[in-house]
Amino acid sequence: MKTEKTVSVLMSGLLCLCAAALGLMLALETTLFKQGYLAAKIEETGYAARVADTVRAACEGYATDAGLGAAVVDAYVTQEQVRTDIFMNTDAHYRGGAGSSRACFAGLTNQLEEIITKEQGGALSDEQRIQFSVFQITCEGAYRDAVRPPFEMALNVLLQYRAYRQWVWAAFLLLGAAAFYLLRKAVKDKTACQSCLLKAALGAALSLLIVAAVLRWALPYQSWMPKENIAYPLFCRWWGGLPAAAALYGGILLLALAAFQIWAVKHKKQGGETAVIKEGPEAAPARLPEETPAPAAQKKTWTYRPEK
Amino acid sequence: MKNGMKNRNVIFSNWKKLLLPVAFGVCSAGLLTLALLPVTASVAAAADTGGYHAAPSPEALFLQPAETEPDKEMVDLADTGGAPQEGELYGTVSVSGTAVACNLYYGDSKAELHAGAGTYMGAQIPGQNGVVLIGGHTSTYFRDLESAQLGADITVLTRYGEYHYKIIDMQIVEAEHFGEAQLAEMPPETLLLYSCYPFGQALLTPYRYMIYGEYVSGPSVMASTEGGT
Repeated sequence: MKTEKTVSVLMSGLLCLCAAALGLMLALETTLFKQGYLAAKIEETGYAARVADTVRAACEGYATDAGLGAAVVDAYVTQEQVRTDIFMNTDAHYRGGAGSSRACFAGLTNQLEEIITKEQGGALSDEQRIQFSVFQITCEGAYRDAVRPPFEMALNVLLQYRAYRQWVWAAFLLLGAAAFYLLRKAVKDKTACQSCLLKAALGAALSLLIVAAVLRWALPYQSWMPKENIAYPLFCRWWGGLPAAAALYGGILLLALAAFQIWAVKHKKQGGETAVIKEGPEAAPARLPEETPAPAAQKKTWTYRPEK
Repeated sequence: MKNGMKNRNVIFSNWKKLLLPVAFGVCSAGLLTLALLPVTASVAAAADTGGYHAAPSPEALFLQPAETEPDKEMVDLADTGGAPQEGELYGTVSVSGTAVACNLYYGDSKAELHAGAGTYMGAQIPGQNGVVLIGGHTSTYFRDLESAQLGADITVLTRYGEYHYKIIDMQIVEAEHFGEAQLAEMPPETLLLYSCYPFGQALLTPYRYMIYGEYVSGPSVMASTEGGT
């Protein structure tokens, strides 16, 4: 009896851990591991627009430093192009490749040559040509750096762990199945087994809620990235989705348990009443009228009366 | 009174039923949090170095005279905290045109490579007129080495000076065929960046991707203060 109780508690605990781990994996699959989730956050936070403004400002600064008009680079950096390149590079990153961006300043040197030749009325000097090439290469480098996947290094780390997710899923599913089998073997009674499973599920729901709270409030993820980084709002929204998802799945599990309990109680009540109605006729079967016993045969008693 | 006692017992019995699930929940949450800690620590360290940073102004590019021998200033390590010690964060390394930009540690054990790039202690540090070996994991900080181009600038910013190298060669070599003998054949003040190959692998591979950098500028470390290796 004691062994059965110990085994049931241990297996319930293990089932709870497996369920919570699988819930957390599901939260990761639907948030940080998902490319579409990052893409949605990029759109939500207007990251592409900020990158376009920043790189345009940087290139305008280079143009001013080089003695050229700042407006020279305006036509080469558009928000739509930046957005496309960011998504392309992010997609390549999730697929394990290294993306590339278009050479959007390809015609810059030629354009500058045309402008200067028109103003000077003569051909460019070699020195001027080299300077314009250097200016173009610098702008290209700035653009290429800017349209890389946001927080690429942090993403690298996460994708490294993502590569092993199938093994984690398989391990916890197998462990859970083994725990369930051992529980059923140890606890023969169906009601007691159900009670163990409900406790494990409730524990798993609580665990997910606790982990969500830790991820949201105990880990200072808002201070991991410098605030002046243009990817900061995106990073906070991106990482913040994980605790929210974990809390959501914990909440759904709790609601499901509550709904199951309500249904079970209702089913029990209804089952009781039905049993009473069903048991009526059976409990009190129609009784045939008692047969009137045949009058008992008169037993003649003989009394010996001696003659007088 | 009897009814009150009965209600109290019922309530106590109901609360007792919740004890086990709460214990399960707390223990599971503790274990899962412990499992997540190394992941979050790695992401936190990487997030600190990630993101877009504007390239340096081209002013220097326009004003720099072509083909001049850079003046080599001397630096005394004792003035800047002494020679780097094992495990010490003593600078940063970045490669232009790539996303490689991370902290630089002295030593290349697991701890250092987990947090950034590591300097091989069997070779030199920048400024010691020797070969400098800096390695990083291809799955994290050195993932974008494959985007490096010939002629790109490698900047090593240390606490005792800023060093620039120009990429002159890139090779894939077998790890077991690269050792002290190959290092001895290299010209002085060569910088080697290396990581596992193919790129993006989380586990150790038999090949290494080597980027060779030729010295461009940076102070020399005074001979009397050389050490740390």
